[in-house]
Amino acid sequence: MTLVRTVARVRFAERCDTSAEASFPAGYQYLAAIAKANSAMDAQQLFREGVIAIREHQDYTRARQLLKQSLELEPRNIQAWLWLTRTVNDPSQKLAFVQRALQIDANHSEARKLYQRLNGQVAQPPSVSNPSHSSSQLQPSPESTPGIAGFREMIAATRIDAAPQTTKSELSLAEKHQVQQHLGQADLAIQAGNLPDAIAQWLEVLSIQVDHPEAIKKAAINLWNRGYEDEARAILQNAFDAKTTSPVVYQTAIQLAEDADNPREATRLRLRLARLPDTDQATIDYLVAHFLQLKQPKYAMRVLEYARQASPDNQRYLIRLGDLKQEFGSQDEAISLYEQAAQTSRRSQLRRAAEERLHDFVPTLSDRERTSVLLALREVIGISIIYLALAFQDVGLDFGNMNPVHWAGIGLAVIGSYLFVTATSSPQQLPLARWLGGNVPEDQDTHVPILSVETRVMMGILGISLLIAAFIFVFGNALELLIDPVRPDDLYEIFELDDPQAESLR
Amino acid sequence: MAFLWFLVYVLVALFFASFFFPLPLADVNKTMRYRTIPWMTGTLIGLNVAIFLLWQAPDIYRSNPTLGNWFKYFEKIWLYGYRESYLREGKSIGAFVAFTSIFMHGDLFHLISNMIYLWAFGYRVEDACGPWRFLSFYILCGMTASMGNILFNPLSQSADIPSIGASGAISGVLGAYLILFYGEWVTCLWGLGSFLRMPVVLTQNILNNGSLLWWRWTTPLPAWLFLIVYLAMNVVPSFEIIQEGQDVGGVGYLAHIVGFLSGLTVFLFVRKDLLMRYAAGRAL
Repeated sequence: MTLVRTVARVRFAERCDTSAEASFPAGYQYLAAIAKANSAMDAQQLFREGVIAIREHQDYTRARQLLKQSLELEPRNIQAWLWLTRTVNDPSQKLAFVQRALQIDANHSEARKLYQRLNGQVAQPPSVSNPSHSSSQLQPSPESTPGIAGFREMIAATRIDAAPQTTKSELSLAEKHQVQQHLGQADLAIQAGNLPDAIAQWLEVLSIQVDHPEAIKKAAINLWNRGYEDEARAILQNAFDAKTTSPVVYQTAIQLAEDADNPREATRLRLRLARLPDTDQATIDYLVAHFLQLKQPKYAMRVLEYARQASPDNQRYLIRLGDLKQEFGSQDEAISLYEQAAQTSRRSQLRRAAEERLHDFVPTLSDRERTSVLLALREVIGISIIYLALAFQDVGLDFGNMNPVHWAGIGLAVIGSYLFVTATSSPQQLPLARWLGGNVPEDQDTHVPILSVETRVMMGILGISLLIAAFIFVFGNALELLIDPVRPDDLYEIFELDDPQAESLR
Repeated sequence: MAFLWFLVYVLVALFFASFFFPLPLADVNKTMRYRTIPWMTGTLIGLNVAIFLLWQAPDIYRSNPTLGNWFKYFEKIWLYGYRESYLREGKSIGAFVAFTSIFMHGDLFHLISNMIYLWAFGYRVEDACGPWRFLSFYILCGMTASMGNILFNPLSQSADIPSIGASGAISGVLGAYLILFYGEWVTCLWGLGSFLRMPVVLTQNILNNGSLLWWRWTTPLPAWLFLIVYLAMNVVPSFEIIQEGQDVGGVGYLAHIVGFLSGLTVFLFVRKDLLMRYAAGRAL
């Protein structure tokens, strides 16, 4: 890792048009010299292949890769910078490449023409109304700015060992003030078209707060666009080393990984972004949509799983994940997620959405409901009330007339209904099921023992028998009348009939 | 043949009655969320219809009913209807009338209107209870309504008229529906509603260049509104019965009210997972 950073610094120094010797110790100078000697021929080859990729194959992605590789080895190749402009569509990126060419040779006619043309397309270009000034702006004087070369030291200063785990919440008031000052100066530099100075200011901010969202995004992207890829990576790595939780850092890194045609890295970063506690809902939605668009539902689900870990009560994540689980065949998990979403808050549109989705499924009992004795007793009360009402009617709507047989009947109804309810709808009551030797069923989604089938059948038969006996007890008078009903004599009076007449009418 | 004419007459009468008062047909979504096939509701409807058609209707729905026909018709009501003196004095079949009375009806209109209500609201309550618990609940509501009609009615002893019909039990089902599914919408046959909808839809079509159907036979109404109106329409005559001791047209309004209130007992019969949801404040 140390060697890679060292070589990167050497290359950076080369590109910045400064001598590696000035910035690095002798060992590094040696490495830089070796790198230069070995790379010259390869750089030309890569450049030629890049041009062929554009001219003959119109393969701009491949061309961009080749030209960038060529420029890494030979950063002063003006033609390569100019050809590179043909591989991108973004005018500001094109402009950045032309600026790199003009930094090497401010009088290069082709580069100047291209610069003037592109300048009209970019929203905030440096002023080129007076060509004599433009070169000084593109190659800032050491007095006004630190110079691109100076960024190297600044980036080094933002490293984790220099600013360990500095996050926004830990900044002192003075530091916050400094950050604001640097950001203000960066804005002024941008307005003046002085991008290097702006970058310098952003790097100053990063030396105070290693993951400052605005500074890191602007600095990294601008460095990247100007070809300082390693440096852009370095400032992001500093933030990662400081265990940043800023989504902007990850979003910037994703952008750079995409630009570098490194989809694996981009995916890895996206998944890490989803785990951050500060990642907002819109970002999660975007990530999910992105993975679904790429037909990678596994990653989309993983994003939502991570987001759920960060915000367990977020109904949107629960419902969205449930939708995906259902779509890809995990119905049980989908139901469980919808249930969680429906239970999270009492009244909300999302809760209603979860409820609506649950309408498609038959609800399943939870273990709490299965094991509850109270819920079983509730049904017992229901049945017992019916028996009480029967007894009450049997004694002529007067509880005072109820004899011990009626009360015994009600007692039997209570016992019989409990046995019946236990055998049918509540065979997993705790601790009853355990006492009676129940086992946890393997084919059901439950962790509590259930009464064996034999026990349930026995209880059911006994319960029904007791309920029948109870019915005979509570309805004794009515049963006697059913066998031998007393005819309604007052009806004969209404119809003015005597018994024989009534009999003949029947 | 005479029966068919009566049937047509009743259906036409119901149709015209539904112009002013909405006739509920089903849930708007016809939801059967818990996938319970409503065979108990169907069985109850079938049983009520069969008892009336095979046992009661032949006595009265004929071209020229004789005195003997009328006598037999009333004798059945007197024997198996719910009557205070018989309960207290142990006549007829005694307390068995608690069961028989809720399966008997006075005429076709009584039967059909009750069965329409039972279907419209019963299948959903059965869905929430399961068939056997629903049957227990239905019978308990029917018995409670019959008892309440006697216990709260100052006229019951003096008039001592047998009461029959499933409306007390069905009122309990309506009460349970209001408690459990207050947020639902009910599809109703309601002529007035269809006419009131017309200008609204036509205006919307003109303003939004829409193509909504300007006429629909059915109108969706919020279940809570429909059932509260039903309750109110029974509360007023019930107070007349209790306070002034006046019978109101032979309709058991008091039984309807008591039955409706006995719908609260649905919590003893509803499926336990749904009870827990309800207790957690969630819609069923």
